[in-house]
Amino acid sequence: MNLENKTAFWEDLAVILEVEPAELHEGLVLDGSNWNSLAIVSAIVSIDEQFGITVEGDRLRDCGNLGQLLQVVQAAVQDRTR
Amino acid sequence: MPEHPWDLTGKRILVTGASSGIGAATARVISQWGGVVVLLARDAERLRQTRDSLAGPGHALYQFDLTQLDDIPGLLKRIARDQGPLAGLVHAAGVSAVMQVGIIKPHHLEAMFAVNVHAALMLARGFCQAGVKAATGASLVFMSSAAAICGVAGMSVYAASKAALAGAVRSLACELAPRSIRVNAILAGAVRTTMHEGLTVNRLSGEAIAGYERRHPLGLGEPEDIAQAAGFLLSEAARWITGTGMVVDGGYACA
Repeated sequence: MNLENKTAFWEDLAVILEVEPAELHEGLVLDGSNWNSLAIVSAIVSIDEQFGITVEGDRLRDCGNLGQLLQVVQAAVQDRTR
Repeated sequence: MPEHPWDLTGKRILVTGASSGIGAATARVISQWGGVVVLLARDAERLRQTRDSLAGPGHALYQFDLTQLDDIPGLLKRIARDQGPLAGLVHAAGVSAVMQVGIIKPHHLEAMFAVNVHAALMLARGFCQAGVKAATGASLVFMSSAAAICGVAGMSVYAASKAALAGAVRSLACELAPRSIRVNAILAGAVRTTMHEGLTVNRLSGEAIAGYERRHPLGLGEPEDIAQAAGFLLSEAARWITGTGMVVDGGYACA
């Protein structure tokens, strides 16, 4: 699955991280300036809606950049389909 | 007036959301105070578990999805016909969510308002039908939230629905007083329920959860704390109370 094809999730991520969708890239740093409790909870809601999976907040909280976040989501999607 | 003014003996009360949390606790309190409960929720198995936990005989359960708005008045008519007229209602069913305003979509609004507001108004409408309300009158209690009067980041949709409900209660109280129907809201603070845990545990950090708890000077509530307030509003002790929003929040709104 190519997560970037999930347009709605990508658009949500852009809003949550306060960037344009075109500015999202795997190296985008997630830190206290854009990755707070409300951002993480909102990402959980979006992931749940777009992929039908629940990701724990702690797993997202540990992500230091967007690439790591996408890996967590990808792994959760694969776990579900196994 | 009964021997104890909070006694609910002889009153049949409909409780929505009765399969868990505040609804289940309210059903238990009503039964312990002598009332008969009509339990309503979507999950039949958990409804049976709640019924089995009640005091006294005569309680009934109805499996129903409150998003079926058109069917609500007919359901109340059927309940009154099958069980007898209703002396009250506690609308404890509710939907909650936390998210940034930036990712809100129309379906979030529709889902939240359907149960929290639209179903509440349809339940009130149901009580206006002949034969539904007990001859002695009725007390309707709607579960609003401290979020209706206190701002919390990420709670805009939920707060909007609960504020809408509190507003509706005031108008309903004026309109239904001539029919001997009292209408009140409970503005509840955070209570330890499955729904609350679903919004916090495994989502917020332990530090964030502790910070939210600290905003309640008396700590987080238990479902019984809300249930007993609902029981009071249902009882004759509250016979001169209508149109109010009773804040039951462990001090959250004043902190």
